[in-house]
Amino acid sequence: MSATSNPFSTGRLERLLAFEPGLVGETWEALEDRWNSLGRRACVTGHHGAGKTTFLDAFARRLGAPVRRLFFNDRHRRLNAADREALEEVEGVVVLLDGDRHLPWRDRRTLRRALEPAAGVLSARHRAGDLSVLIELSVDLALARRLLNRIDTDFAEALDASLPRLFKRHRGNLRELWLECYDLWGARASAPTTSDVKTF
Amino acid sequence: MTTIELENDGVFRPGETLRGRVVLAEGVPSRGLELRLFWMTRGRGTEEVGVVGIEPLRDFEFAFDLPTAPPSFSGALVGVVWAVELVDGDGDGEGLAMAEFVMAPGGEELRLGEVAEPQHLERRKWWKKHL
Repeated sequence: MSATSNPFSTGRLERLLAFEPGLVGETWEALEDRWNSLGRRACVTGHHGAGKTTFLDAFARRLGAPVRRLFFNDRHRRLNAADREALEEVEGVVVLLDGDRHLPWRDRRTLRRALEPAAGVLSARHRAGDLSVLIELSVDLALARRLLNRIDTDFAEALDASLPRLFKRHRGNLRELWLECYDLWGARASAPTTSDVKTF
Repeated sequence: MTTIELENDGVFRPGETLRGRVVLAEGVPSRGLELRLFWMTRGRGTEEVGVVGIEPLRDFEFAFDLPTAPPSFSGALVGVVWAVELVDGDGDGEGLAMAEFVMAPGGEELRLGEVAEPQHLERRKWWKKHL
């Protein structure tokens, strides 16, 4: 069992499973048209592990221009000094927000005002709130299966029968699913023979 | 395709000199390119990166004096991988080519063995027994 050879290592998945519009029936051109028509103020919605952050990563690369990113989560629920400093330099740049709905309303108001001079704002959220939706991401079993095949064909074949159960257990959260696959792959690799791990 | 070729089949010992050469794809200008020597973690979690050296690409052959740590290793949850990457320093910092290598005392990636009896399980047993 080796972290450097595990095909489900986080960095490898980030490179391998970069967002592709075709996987969700979209094109970059259509997304960019929508982004412009929404006045470059929009959000990407989806449940936990649906690929919102992955979408923001790809969107930032696609823009090919300077972007500023701010992350918020359960442990970072207030604007801190670094956030406020970053918000002083948003004029003319696109700001990507990840999890800004974690902020209390007073900080959200500060954020909204600070972002007025930005060239664009795209927020990753569970629910749209005050922003129009650029894209709503959801994951179904077929997509999970396709991605799993891309990560490791042999392992995908071995896991095929158990995948619906695992997918259901993780409620479609791909991040959690890949972490479990990381552990299962490790257990399978360290088993004396492959026949010792017949089912997952 | 732009590539980085490393000497010694990409195996070095701590403190040695890493030598290699860059082969640029046709049409790729060499101006503004730089080489970055770094280690990164790989495994079950967010990757950490430590940049150890940055050198502008002056010649197609290059050399870096390697530090003594951290060595290349791999365990069940995390490992350390060393690499050298060619980056467009003038542009958007895009990586043009990357070559991974091993830096370890024995010339082989260190393997962390599985822990048969993790200490925290021992402690759990102790608490169960005494409470």
